[in-house]
Amino acid sequence: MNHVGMYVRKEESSYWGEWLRENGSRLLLFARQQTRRPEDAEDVLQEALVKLARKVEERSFVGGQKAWMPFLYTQIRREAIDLGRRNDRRKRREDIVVEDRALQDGPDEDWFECAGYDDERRVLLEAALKGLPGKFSEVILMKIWGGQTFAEIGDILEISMNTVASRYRYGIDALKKKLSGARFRGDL
Amino acid sequence: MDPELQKIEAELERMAPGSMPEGMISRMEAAMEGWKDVSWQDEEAKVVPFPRAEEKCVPQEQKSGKPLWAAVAGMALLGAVAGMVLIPEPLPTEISSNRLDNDKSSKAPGVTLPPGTVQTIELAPKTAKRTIVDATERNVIIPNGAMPLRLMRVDLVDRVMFSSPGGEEFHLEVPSVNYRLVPAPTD
Repeated sequence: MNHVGMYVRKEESSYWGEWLRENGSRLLLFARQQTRRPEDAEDVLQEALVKLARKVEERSFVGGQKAWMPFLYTQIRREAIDLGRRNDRRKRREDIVVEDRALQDGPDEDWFECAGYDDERRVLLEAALKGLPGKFSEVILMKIWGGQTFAEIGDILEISMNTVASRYRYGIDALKKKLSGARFRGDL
Repeated sequence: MDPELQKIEAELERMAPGSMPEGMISRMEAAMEGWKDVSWQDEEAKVVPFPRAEEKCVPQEQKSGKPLWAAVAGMALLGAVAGMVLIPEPLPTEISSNRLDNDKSSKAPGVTLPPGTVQTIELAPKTAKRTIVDATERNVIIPNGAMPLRLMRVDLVDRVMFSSPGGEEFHLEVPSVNYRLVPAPTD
């Protein structure tokens, strides 16, 4: 009997692992966009994944596996907001200049793979994306790499589909302007 | 969408998000496996629902009358429903008259009530009172550079007394918590 239990446990374990190998990079990208530090991104992603695992195993998750990604995007965003508030409160309390500097100048991780793409172009696009206001970049990330529809993004962000669509267009347009600027300066 | 924008979009699609390192996958997997070990706080409880931006922030004093009567009406309805559903029949006279004084009398030996029977009685609200038990100031928030607002938590207890046609009194006590945004004075 124990063997059966262990077997089932192993099956579940490899299932989550496989699922993460397939979808983890998209979620990690979103978590990085939502937070200020790489370790924060990992924390919020873990919190969100644990909540999903709990709901799935308790059978209280509403919707099938297709609904996991929208749920995780929502959770990552909530966790990041909570974490940001906590960090802001702590910063105000402690008022340590050194730590503030460390927060701002912390290691800036690459969001995208280096291989398989013109690296110079990638660096510019990535920098432009990071420089966008969060409300634009989050929509672009969920649309392009998360494969979410405008309607699904609207549900996640609790805004209308039209607002999502206009944020997306604004964001892409802003990227285009940034890249045009780079071309003009001779960076490209 | 403009072809130039579509070009950018296509270019973005060609970029692949950085993959999750194997060590991170193992950590995440272990955390997902061990969700039972985490002490849970209800995630809904962590999020304090703020009033929507378009809702006007009105201090407690300015809107004191309406919520009280709304609460009274709600509780009257609740009392009436509870009265209809919960009171069994037939009620021996000695039990109904003594219900408030001594609850034990309803379980006196020799008294048996047929299961599943209900009696309808009308309850009318006699008095209603809302008491502020506690009020605490929370954080100040500045929504998008607008006027600073302070979040206040107000603990309340609504007490309503109902009376039945037979003169019996029923007391209902409902504690509640309200969150209010009030303008915060700044220098």
